[in-house]
Amino acid sequence: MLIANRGEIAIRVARTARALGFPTVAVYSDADRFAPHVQACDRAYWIGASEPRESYLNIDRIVGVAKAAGARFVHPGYGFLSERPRFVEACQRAGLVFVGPSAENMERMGDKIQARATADELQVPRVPGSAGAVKSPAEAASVASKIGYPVLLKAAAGGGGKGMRRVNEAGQIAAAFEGASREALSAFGDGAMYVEKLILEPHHVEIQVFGDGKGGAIHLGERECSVQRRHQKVLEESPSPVLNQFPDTRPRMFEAAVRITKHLRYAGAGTLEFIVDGEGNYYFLEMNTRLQVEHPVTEWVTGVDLVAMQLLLAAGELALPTEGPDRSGSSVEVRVYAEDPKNFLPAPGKIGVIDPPSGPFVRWDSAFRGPGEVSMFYDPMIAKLSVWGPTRAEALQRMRVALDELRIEAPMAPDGTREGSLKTNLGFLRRLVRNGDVLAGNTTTDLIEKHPELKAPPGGAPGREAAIAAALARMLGQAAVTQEGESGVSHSVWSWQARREGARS
Amino acid sequence: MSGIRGKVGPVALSWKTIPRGPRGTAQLEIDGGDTLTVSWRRDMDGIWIELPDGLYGFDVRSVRGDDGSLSFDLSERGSAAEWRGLRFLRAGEEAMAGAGGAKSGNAKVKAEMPGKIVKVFAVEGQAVARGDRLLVMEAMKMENEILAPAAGKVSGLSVKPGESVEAGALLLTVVGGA
Repeated sequence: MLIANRGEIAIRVARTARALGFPTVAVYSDADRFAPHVQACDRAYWIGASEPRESYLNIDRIVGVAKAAGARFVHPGYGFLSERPRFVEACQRAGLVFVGPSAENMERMGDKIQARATADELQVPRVPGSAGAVKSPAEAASVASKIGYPVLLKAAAGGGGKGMRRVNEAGQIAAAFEGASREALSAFGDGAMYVEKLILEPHHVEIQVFGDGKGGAIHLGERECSVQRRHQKVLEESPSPVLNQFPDTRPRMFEAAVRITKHLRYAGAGTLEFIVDGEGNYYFLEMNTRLQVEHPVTEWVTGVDLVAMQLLLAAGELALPTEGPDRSGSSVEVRVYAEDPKNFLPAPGKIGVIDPPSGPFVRWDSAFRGPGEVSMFYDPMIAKLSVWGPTRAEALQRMRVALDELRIEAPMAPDGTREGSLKTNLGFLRRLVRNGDVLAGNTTTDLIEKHPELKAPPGGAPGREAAIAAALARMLGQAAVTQEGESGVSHSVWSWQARREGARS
Repeated sequence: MSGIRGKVGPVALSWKTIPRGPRGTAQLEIDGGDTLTVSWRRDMDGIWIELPDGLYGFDVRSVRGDDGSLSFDLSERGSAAEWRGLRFLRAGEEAMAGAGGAKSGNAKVKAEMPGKIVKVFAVEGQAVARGDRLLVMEAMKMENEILAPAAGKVSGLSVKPGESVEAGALLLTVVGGA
C-alpha cells in the first residue's frame, strides 16, 4: 500500500498497515528526505520539490510511483489529495484501489452546495443560507439581508477556516467578501462563496460513519470539536458535552448521519459535520470524505482501529457490521501546534527538544522525535495528544498531567538562549485544560474568544520560589544545564554578563 | 566574602553565599526576613529548588533581549503558572535597565513568518494609532492583518504588494511608538 501523505498521519497509517501485513510505500518531497514517515515504511520514493503542488499534490507523480512500486492500494491520509476526486479517478485508471469513497461521492459531498442539496433532499435540517454559490458582494448582501445578520461567509470549495469571515452588519459585508474570496481563490483556486446564518451558542459536533459502498452504513458515535481558533480545531472529544445536555438529540443525529451515508452508497470512512445550538437543535454543515485528524478520540471510545477498518473494507476482507460498536468512557485530544498563542499564527522552526508524555491511556501521534524541524512548507501541527478516561472529568485530568509532562523547545544556542522561530501552543493548551468552561463542558465555538486570558500567561509578580529560580538561572549560567558533571570550566552567564558590562566580578 | 543583593520583580534577594554549579546549596535572605537555605539541581529543562517548606520545579527559558541582556521565562512544573521576562537585577543594575527601557521609542514591525504582502495600507510618514491596520500579509495560505504595535509615525516602509518576505524581515518602523 502506498501512503500518499506525510507527517504523523502517514506514520499512523503505516503502523496499522504493517500490523495487518500490508507492505508499505512512502513518498517524500525534498524537505522530507529521511523524515520519520519515510522511515516508518518499507520502501520510499521521492516525488518532487518541497512545495506541496510539486510533490504531495502531484497526482501523476504519485500514481506513477505507486505503479512502479507495485502497490495495489493507495491511502490518502487527510489533507493533500484525500478529497480530490481526480486523484481517485487517476488511481482507478491505473488499476489501484483508493482507500476511501468513490470519486462521485467525493465530488457530491466535497462541494458544500451539492452536499446541502443532498441534506435537503433527505430532510436533514441545515443552517439557513444561500441556495448556491454567490459570486459578488452585492449578491452576498442580498442573501444576508434575507436570512438576517450575523452571517458567515465561507469558501464554497474550502475548509479549515480558510476563506471564512463572520459579518455582523451590512456595512462590513463587501470588504469581508473580497478578503475571503481572495483567500479562497489563492488556497483552493476557486473564489466562490457561500453565505449562511450564524448560529448562536454553537457547538461543532460531527458523526463518524462507515459505508460499504452498497447502501450499508454504520455510525461510530460523535466527536465534539467546538474549541477552535481561526476556525481550526484545537481540542476534540467524544462523547460530546452538549449532546450530554440534550440526550434526545444524539440518536436523531446518528440516524440522520446514517441516512445520508446509506443514500450516497458511500464507501469507507466519512464524517458528517453538524452545528448544535444552545437549545439542542442540530443543523447539517458538510461531509468530510476522508479520515479526520481527530479520529483517535473515536478509536479510544470504540476500541476500533479506523484505519484497519478502512483498509479491510477496501480490500474486501471485511463485511461492514450491521451495528456500530459500543462506546465507553470519554476521550479528549488536543493538537499541539507550532504557533504563537498570542495570535495563533504559525511559528514553524527548528525543534531542539521534544519530550512526549506517557502514562496510562495516553496516546501521542507525532512525526517528531528528538531534534527536527517544523517545515514552513506544511501544516504546523507538531503532534496530537489524546487520552481516555472512564469519565470526561478523568480524561481531562489525565490530559492536564500529560500536557504538564510534555516539553518542546527550540534548539539551544551556546549562550543558553533558545534560537530560531519556533513557538508552540503548549502553554495555551495547559491553560485550556484548566479553563472553567472547558471543565464544565460549556464548549461553544467562541470559547477561546471569550477567554482572552488563555492566550497569554497571567504574568504578574513572581512568587518567592520563581524569584529564587530566576536568580539562580542567571547566576549559575547555562553550562550547568547541558553537562551533568560538575567539572569543567565555568561558563557562567553571570561572569559572562559581568565581563560584558565591564563590571568587576 | 560579601554576598550578592538584588531583586527579581518586587522580591528582594540577598545571597549570603554565591551559588555555583549544577547543584548546590546557598544561604539566602528574602525581603529582609530570616536567612534560609536553598538547594538546587539543574536539569535539561530548568531547575529544581528545595526550600525549607518543600521542592519546586521550573522550566527555564533564557531570552536575549534586543539590548543584549538576558531574561528568563519560567513555567512552574505541574502547573499552568508562567512568568515571562524575569530578571535578577543586582543592586545598581535596576536604574540602568530602567533607562534602557525608556529610550526605546521605536517599534519595529517584522514579518513573523515567510509570506507574501497582499496589501499595504500604511504610507511613509503617516501618523498611526496603536491597532491601526498597516498591511495585509498572506502566509500559510491565510491572510493576516498586521496592526500598529504602538502609536507613532510610519518610517522605513520597505515592502510593496505582491512582494515575498522572509521571516524576521523588517517591514517598517513605527517611530516614536511605545
